[in-house]
Amino acid sequence: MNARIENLLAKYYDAESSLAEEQELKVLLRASEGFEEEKMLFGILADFKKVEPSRISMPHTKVRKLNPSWMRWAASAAILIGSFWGWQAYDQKQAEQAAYQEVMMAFALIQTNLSKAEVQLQPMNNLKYLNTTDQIFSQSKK
Amino acid sequence: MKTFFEEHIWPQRSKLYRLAFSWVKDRALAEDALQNVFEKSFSRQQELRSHDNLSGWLVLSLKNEILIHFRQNKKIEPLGDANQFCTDEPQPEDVTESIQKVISLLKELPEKQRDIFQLREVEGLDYSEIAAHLDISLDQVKVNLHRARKRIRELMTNQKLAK
Repeated sequence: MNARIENLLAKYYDAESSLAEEQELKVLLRASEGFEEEKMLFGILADFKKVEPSRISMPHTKVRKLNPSWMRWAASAAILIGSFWGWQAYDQKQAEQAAYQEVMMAFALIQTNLSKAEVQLQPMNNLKYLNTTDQIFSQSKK
Repeated sequence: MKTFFEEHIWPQRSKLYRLAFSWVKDRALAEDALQNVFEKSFSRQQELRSHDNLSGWLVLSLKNEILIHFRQNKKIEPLGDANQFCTDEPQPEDVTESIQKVISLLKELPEKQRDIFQLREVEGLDYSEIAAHLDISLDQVKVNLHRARKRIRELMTNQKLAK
């Protein structure tokens, strides 16, 4: 076994060993006597491999944080503006409705008066039975 | 469905963190730098999707992030490289003795050898993966790894003799 370790160590120090051979070397060293420097080296390197970051966090897409107090003021202002706008829209609609009603009432009045006028003009329809103007005026001569 | 970041970048966090930690020897700073790199890479997902060497880009970005930090704090010269990262930071209490030993060994290596050694020995990457991570040739990886291992052996032997 020692011969194999010596052989692997030679390759290791010449940087000619593969990862598999280096793994084999570490396993053989654990089971053998001696080679204290190499055992210690591989031991401390294995300890170093256990060093892990503790505060690194995964970055995330940044979300803009709004100031809560600023948001309260903004919400209040939005409610006020919204209420004012709503009231104005309602008021305008009411005015339009009133104007429409007035116009409709005016139309109704015109319609009534037209009907009255039509009734008053009804006697004039009798004129159509007279054939000529002479007939009208000759009768009146008699 | 996982995003590109979740699938390809987020799984590299431990490896990148250990690299940064070995450069700066400061857990908080390494984490801050890595978090910044992650924020940037998250916002550039579409661009990185078509990048031919994502790992290399991440390592380089991390290095640049740390260089910027040190330049802003005037701890290195404006044209300095990553090898000039400040090494006088106090060791946190939660750094164990074995980790301190690794750091002191890595400190003795030139920057390129240190990165290659760490990517091979700690992260278990093969030669081509290391070449991609550091954007260097396969031959450079092998030569530098050979030198790094040789230097580490010398250091280990000297430590043994010193005891």
